[in-house]
Amino acid sequence: MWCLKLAGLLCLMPDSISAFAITALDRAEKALKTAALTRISVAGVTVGIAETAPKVVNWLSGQFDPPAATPSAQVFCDYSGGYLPETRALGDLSEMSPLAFDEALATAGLFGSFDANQNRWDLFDPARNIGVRLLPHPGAYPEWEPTAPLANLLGWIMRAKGRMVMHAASLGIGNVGILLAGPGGSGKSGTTLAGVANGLQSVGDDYCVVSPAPSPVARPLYRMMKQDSAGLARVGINGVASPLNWQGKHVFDLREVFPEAAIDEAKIKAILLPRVSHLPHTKLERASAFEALQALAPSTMLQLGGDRSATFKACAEVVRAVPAFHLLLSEDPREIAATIRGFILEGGA
Amino acid sequence: MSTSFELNTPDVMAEDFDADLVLLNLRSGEYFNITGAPRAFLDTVLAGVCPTSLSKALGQTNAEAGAEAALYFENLQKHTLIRPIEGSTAMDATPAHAAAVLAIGATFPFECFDDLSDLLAADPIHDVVPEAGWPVMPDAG
Repeated sequence: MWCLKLAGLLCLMPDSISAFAITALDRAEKALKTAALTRISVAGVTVGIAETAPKVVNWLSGQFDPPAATPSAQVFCDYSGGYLPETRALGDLSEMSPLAFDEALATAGLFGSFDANQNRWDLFDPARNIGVRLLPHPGAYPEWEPTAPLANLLGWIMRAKGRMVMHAASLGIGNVGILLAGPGGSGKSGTTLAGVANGLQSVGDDYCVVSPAPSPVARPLYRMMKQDSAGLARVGINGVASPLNWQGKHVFDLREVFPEAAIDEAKIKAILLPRVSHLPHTKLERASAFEALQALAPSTMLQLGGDRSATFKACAEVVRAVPAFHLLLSEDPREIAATIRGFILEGGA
Repeated sequence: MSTSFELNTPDVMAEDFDADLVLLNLRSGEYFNITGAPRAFLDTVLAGVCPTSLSKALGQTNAEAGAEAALYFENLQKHTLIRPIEGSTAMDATPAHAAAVLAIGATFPFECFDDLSDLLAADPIHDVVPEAGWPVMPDAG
């Protein structure tokens, strides 16, 4: 019985999942033809968004200036739950791995991500540049969504435009800068905060949109920064007028707290791999291409579902284009920022 | 008579960074850093030289290196990074092939990183921390 169930899962599910995805995208395309679109511009790409109830546009529109250009990609967010009977007919998807799900959609040339527990779906058709988000009701947004709205869908839209959302922070001076890559806890956000609090600039502290060729350029995906009270206190900020998010961190707009620090573009000259090291002075040591790829690719592949091979390839392209260095951190935010400033200005980057 | 080998594409992706060759097995999520003597060994095998005869040729100069190279080849197969090319015939290794590999090094460590494999195989309900999103595993960054 178990074998029969497994065989059915493996043989029938990919076709039915892709068929469901195509149907959902067809419906979204039809709805978008008559819907009022909210336009946002992400890394120079105009995206039109329509929702069955205003949720995500409230989180996004504050972060992006409304563009005049006609949208070259569109997203429909459907919170009606009308799709639920169709997904129930797909059977139990709870045992399906993300990789198997990716492969099922790839047969139809689509990208997607799903949460079987909450029956939440993100689907994107790069041929049509149309995405759809399906939630069972407007309140079904996960609690991290206000900080990083539509992350998967924006990532796939960027990919369709030859750009790549990467799980990396950035610092720069005068539109020349570095990416900061590494796992959670390595010091990415703390280093970014140390930098922007001490005269450096940034296009993002968690995600960046990177155009890999001919030489990497990073642009903002979001303008929001996250940091806990202790991290803010380390750079001399005692209190930011923002609510705490689900992680107990303050979420604030970079432009509001550090108006001079927000830049729209940085030519990337190096990848730095921060490590909390408690050294008396911050040190830079050359890292191998493999170490840089290891810091950048796995977390980006995991956080941006769909066609992970393309993500891996794009990360490799960036790693190949610029040198990488370990950034062994001191505990002094000013000294960390000064070291990075010197690295960039002296041509190390 | 043995067959020659090739990378097991498209399941296995390769990115070449001069000294380092990074392989990612999308099926398993494992990734590998192949550098030094192992890189030279793999390059020679992918150029059509019989891996068994190459290990033996290495062993004639350096017995330990030959044994390590044979084990390395087993690992390449075990992790499905390479596959035999059907209908092909591999060249026998020459002393020059062995010398070229040994000029790079005589040890063949097999570096496999599996932090991604756990995540790619994650059960999206039971293994994923809800506050981190889907399908992001704990400590994924």
